[in-house]
Amino acid sequence: MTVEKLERWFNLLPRADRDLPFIVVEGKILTPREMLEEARGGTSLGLLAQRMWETRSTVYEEKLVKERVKKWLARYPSDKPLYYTIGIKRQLTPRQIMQEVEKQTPIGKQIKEVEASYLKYLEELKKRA
Amino acid sequence: MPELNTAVVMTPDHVITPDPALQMATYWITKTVKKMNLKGLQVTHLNGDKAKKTEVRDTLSMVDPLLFWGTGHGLECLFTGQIRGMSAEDLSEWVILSSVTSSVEFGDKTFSITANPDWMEGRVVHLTSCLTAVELGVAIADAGALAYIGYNRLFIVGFMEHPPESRYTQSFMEPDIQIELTLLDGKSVKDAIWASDFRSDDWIEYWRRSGDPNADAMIKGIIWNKVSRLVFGDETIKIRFVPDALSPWNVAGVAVVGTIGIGGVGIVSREGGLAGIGK
Repeated sequence: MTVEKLERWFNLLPRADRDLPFIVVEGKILTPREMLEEARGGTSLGLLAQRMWETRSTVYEEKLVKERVKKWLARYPSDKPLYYTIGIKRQLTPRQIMQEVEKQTPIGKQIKEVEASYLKYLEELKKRA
Repeated sequence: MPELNTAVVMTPDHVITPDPALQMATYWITKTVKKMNLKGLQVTHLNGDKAKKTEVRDTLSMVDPLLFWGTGHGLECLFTGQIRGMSAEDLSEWVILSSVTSSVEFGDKTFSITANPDWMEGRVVHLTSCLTAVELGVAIADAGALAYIGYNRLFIVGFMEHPPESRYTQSFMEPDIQIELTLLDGKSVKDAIWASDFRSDDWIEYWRRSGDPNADAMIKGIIWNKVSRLVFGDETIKIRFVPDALSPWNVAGVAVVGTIGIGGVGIVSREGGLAGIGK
């Protein structure tokens, strides 16, 4: 797997995802941009990240998923509706979403599952790179 | 006996008590109803204040549609229509379908609901609503519906303050309305679900390439709805006779379109496309 392939994958990602946590390497959370910079610099962290990216399993660590949700929601005003739903809970604000995740409610668990599915989707873009 | 080529569609619009989520869903479903009519489906559209329990009951009884499609706020065990006021009577009219008979406390009011999944017996049911697949959908299928399509999580319909006609709402609603557009072409429920999934994938790809700063939030919302969509019942069921869409067994316009395990119910299409259901 070449750095060029990693770069092509990076360019396939939605812009916001390039700077969101993506992988945990030796306890350190890296974004795709950080991965690419480390790989370009030929650092040991970069080489390891590149190898993990190549062979990564589809199970995502809780720590990574929660960190992603937190940083994603931080982009939006915390008390304005982010999503509208056709349920009795008609709107979901970033603050409510984060509370659901922290309290491990059914909705919170579903948010983490979808985040993990989304990570898998991003990872699978490497097949197109 | 429900008739092929007939549908009842229910869309509360909540104009008096503004409800952006339902207005978004109603906007897209109403557009689809126009397409259904243009393609020759006989659609009875219960919009706004007509989206109430007694009106739905009377219309089902009178029209006896093969397809019931509705939007409204949902919970695990119930599906609602237009909320017109806070009296016990208004609240009873608000709950269209329920899988339980119970007394319900809502604010400082108490009202009663009666289990009625049997209203959907012999029909294809699609609820564009949150959570009904958890309990109500199962009860509807158990009560003899040919097929039930719905969601086992919250159904996301809108993003931030974007209006109903925006690409944001469109990309959440199009995978859902694709179900009716596919059934309208004489395809099966299974085909409709595939088409819906493909439409979701199209929108995911659209947002990925869009350069929109909210692309990630949009893709997550679309994935959310896609993985929440469930079907119970017979996926081979079709709601109309369209010769081009029929399989090779439909020679000479006389055919068994599908059969279903629940209660031994079957659909038989008759000659010339004027088909009905036989149980």
